[in-house]
This record gives sequence, C-alpha cells and structure tokens, in this order.
Amino acid sequence: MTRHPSRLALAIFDRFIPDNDALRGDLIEEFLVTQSQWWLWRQVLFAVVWRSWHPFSWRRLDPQMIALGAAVLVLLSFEAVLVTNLMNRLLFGPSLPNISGYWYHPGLPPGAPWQPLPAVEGSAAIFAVVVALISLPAGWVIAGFHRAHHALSLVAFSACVLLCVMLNLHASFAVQFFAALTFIIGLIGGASLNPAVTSR
Amino acid sequence: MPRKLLTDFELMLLLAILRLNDGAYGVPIAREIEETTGRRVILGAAYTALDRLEERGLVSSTIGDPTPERGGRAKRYFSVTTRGLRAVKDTQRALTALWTNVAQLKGGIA
Repeated sequence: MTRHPSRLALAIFDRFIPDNDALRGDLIEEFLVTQSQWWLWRQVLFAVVWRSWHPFSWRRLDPQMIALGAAVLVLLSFEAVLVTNLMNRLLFGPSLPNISGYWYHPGLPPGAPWQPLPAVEGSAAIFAVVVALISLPAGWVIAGFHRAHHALSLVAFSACVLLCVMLNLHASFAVQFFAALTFIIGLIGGASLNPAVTSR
Repeated sequence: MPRKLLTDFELMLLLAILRLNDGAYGVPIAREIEETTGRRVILGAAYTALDRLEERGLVSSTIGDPTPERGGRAKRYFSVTTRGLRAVKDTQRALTALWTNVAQLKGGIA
C-alpha cells in the first residue's frame, strides 16, 4: 500500500519555504520511492532550519532593518519583563495602583532574599495566556519588517527575549521559562498571521 | 587576483550535474552524490548551495513541466555554465597540485 507524505510536514514546509516548488516536488518524488515519513520529516526540518540560517547575504544587509530590529528587541524585552512582573503583582501582590519600583518582592523587607510564592508555580498558565496574547501583535510586526529573513528574525528575537527574561526576573525559573516560551510561541504565531509572510 | 576555489560540496554538486548531463535536477543530483561518494545529501541544503552557485554564475537553471507524481510541482533543471566549468577545472588543478608528492598517500588507495 502506497503511503502518503505527511500533511503536517508538507504544511510546515509550505509555511516556511513557500517559494521553492521544485524542492517540494523533489521531496514528494523521493518520498514515493523511500516511503519513509522519517526521511521526509528530516528533510523538511533540515530544509526549514537551513533556509532560516542560510539565506543571509552580507551584501543585502539593510542598516535600517538592523536598527529597527534592535529597537524592536529592546521593546520586546521590556514588554516580556514588564508583563510578567505586572501579572505577578496583579495576581499575588497588593492591588493597583500601588506599584512601587519595577521588581516585585512579595511582602518582604527591602534587601531580604526573595522567596518564591507557592501559588506562583501553579499560575504559570495564566501568565501563558496573557503573554501569548500580547506577543501575537509583536510577532506580526516583526514578520512584516523582516520579510526576507522572517524565520531567522523570529528565532533571534525569541532567543534574546528568552535571555532577557531569564536574566531580569525574580520569579521562579519555571514561571520565567514558561512565560518566555509562550511569548515566543505567540511571536511565531503572530508572524504566521502576517499577510506579508503568508503571501510571499 | 587569487582564485576562489569551490568548497567540497559545491564541487560535488557541479560534478554531479556534469555527470548527469541533461536531466540534472534535485533528486538525481542528490542520488548521484550519495551513490558515488556515500555522503548523505539534504535536498534543502543542495538547493541553497545551487542557488548560491547560480548567483555566482556557475550554474544556470530552467523550470520543467509540472508532473502529477510530484504533487503538480515542476522540476528545476541545472546545468553548469562555462564559468562553472572553469571553476571546476581550477579547483581540480589546485587539489591535484596539493595531492602530489604527499608521502603518506604514496602506495595507492587501500
């Protein structure tokens, strides 16, 4: 019985490499010979990663896009840290507008070592929803300004945001990581909604 | 002006295209390299390298007709340009010169 190539693999290919019909045809043609989904997935994933990291040409580098990318990165980092700290305070701290300073220390005197609240660990899902919703428009903007390298841009921004969140927050590692991860997923999801990307 | 030599993968791609003559598109190019050298080829990487070779004027490509077996996608046929052939010869000359008189390699292939 002839198997069909994985629709999900081909959908991922179409999302990230929409302009290489010949490669897509080659993958299907070779799959019909190998009949191996594992082979197809490996080819698709490598092609996506390779495409993200290797379309780069120094001669086509645009200083304006670099400056814009740096500015967006600063805003994203600020957003990620602010949102997570703000939500932490809204959920577990004193009511607004009593926000004093940028770091949230729950009921501890200044200078005392920070202790994680047990409730914070279980509320990562709330952070996830809010952070993902806020990151969708950010991803949409990123994709719009970095059409030629949208995948590379998203990966770079996501990695930097993750790093900023890890270094700056005083929440537990699990909350930081989960919040940053959903932020990144939201970024990628937002980018996929950008018509500039989908219509390439 | 110093000559820019081909990388090993670029050289393999060009040689595979030359060996295949007509009909050199992604799948047979990859198969030719795999069967001849034993090196596994990721098709996406091959296309990226071929795009760069085309930018440098070492290969040219034409689009064939779409076929239903390929999900209605056309093949992209590659051929080596005169400039590409010169690059292959230059690389061959350079590598041959390097191989010559290497004491550890004397005695034939094991």
